[in-house]
Amino acid sequence: MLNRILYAVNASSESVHGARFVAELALASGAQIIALNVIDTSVAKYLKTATGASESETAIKLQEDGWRYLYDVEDVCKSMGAKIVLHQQEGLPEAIIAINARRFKAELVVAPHSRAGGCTQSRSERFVIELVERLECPVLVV
Amino acid sequence: MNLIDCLTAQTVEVNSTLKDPELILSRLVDLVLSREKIMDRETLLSQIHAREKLGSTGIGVGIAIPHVHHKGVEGLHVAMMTVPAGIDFHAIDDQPCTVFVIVAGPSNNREEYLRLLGEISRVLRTDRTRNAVLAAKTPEELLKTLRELKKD
Repeated sequence: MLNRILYAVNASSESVHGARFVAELALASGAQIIALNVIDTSVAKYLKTATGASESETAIKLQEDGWRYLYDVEDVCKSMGAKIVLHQQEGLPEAIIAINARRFKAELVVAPHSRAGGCTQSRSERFVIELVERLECPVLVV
Repeated sequence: MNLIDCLTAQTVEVNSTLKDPELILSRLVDLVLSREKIMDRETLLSQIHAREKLGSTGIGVGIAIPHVHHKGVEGLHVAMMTVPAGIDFHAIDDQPCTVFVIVAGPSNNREEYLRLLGEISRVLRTDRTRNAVLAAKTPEELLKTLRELKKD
């Protein structure tokens, strides 16, 4: 029996697509979903350089995009009747997810996998490996 | 459209002394319907309650954003209320909620609705904005504060 599932939303369309599966899992087990988006501060620095936007403009965009995807995931889950709460933090995703998994006593962490290919997919695979190494609970990749 | 565009003095209440979460939601519904009757009051209230039961919209640092989209609604509709004493809204961080914003939007334009929710969440989670909002003594002062902060 699962009580809490931590869903690592990564501000991507993959995380919205994966929400349906997470909701079904939560409904089948009676679990509450904690949807967590982590704003990767190292990506923020890269985006600032790549786009020429100011640091504050980049921070605003990342925060608002993060919340936007969280609310999208929430909408999918609640429309299916699954219980879900939202959270967003900044930092190194693997570390923040592990901290929150312990904080909320999640019995399962679910992470979306990027199928974009190239560097994005490679980074996603490294992220999953890092996550598995840091967590005591199982990790499911969708 | 952004937060300040969606609010008027009519849809803002400051220094509320309500203590019950159910009354807070009821009052927020009345505020958002005070400017325009976008949908039936009981339908809106029951949908807000139903979604709140599936998980608190308290996103931490004292902010709660009950929200719903409905097929009959046109445009984005927002109301705001401050409750300086704070109430337990079962927020993610277990902290009392002091600033409440209700959002009602259309089901056929979810992108704008989600974008607005993202903006409200980001803006109000800023300590400076939240403290300024809580310090406002009238709805007009709250709106003026938000406009000035937006310029910065």
